Amino acid sequence: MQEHLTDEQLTEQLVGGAGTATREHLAACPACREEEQRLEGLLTHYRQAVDAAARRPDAFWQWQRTAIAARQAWRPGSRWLAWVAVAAVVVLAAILLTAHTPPTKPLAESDPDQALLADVQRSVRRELPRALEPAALLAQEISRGAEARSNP
Amino acid sequence: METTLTQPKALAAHADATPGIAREEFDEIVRRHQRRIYRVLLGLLRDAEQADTLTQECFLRAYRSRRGFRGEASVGTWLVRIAVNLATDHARNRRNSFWRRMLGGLKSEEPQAVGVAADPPDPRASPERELAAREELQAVWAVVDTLSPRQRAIFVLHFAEEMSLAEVAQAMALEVGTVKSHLARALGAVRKQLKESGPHARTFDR
Repeated sequence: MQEHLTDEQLTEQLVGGAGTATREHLAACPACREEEQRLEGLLTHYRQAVDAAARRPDAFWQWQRTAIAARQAWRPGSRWLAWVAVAAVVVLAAILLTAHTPPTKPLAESDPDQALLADVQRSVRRELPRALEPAALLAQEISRGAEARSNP
Repeated sequence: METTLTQPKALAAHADATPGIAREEFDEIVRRHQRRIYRVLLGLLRDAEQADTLTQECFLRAYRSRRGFRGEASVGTWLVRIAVNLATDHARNRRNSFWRRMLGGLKSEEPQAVGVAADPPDPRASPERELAAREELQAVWAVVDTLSPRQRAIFVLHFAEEMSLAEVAQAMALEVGTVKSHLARALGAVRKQLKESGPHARTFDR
């Protein structure tokens, strides 16, 4: 009989599927039996410790599910939706800005200097100065009267 | 009981015929498996915050790749495989980050490990026995931390999650024999550590 079980044989015993030789050795060797039981107890203790460390209140799991669902909504496949939303916001902003733009006043109304300048420009563009307008009318009447006399 | 895409029928129909699982069905999968995935990640990382973050990431990855799921393994095993891959990537990134911090002269920030402190005391045990058990458990945690990512995952899945050798092999994409030899090496490391740890260690010389 071998002196004691190897790690492989003890593992086979612990995970199941140990051969006849291993089982016979365990039956005959108190030291190996004790070692096998100690390891089994320790691994049970380890499993319980992991389980205890991972225990959380229901609120934690609920919060985690909410977080997962929220992140699912923003998966890469739905990025086009984000782009559509951004485009819609830009268009809406443009419409609002256009609709609320205040009507632009003519420069002449808002600024006295500009009004004077515009008046001067209008005067300059006239064919006759304003002061000579009555004389021009009189000259037109005289010429019409002369035409009437020469063509009775 | 393990959830598979052959149970319930609605899930099987989605897995086999139409690629994709409906949102409502996926919500149910999250509800059913989130505790286990979190526990696996906590066992692998010993960092509660990271375990939570990676649990969320695990389900997001599963959701995105649900069309590729063909039901060869159970949903639980499929999720565990994603979780183990995430933990491995995380460990690799943390190692890289550690070296970046070292080279950059910044202080390393190790996460707060969980485990032994969360272990509930046994009211029937004597203080000495409880102390010895606590020390032994601490030795197990310490050994698990030193195992390679693959060995650690195999150890956690089998001994903490009680997954069968076949399930572990499926989750890790390994042969059953390979899983068994990894477990033997991990157990050997645990025994070695126990022999060396303090006066409470039992003598068992071969």
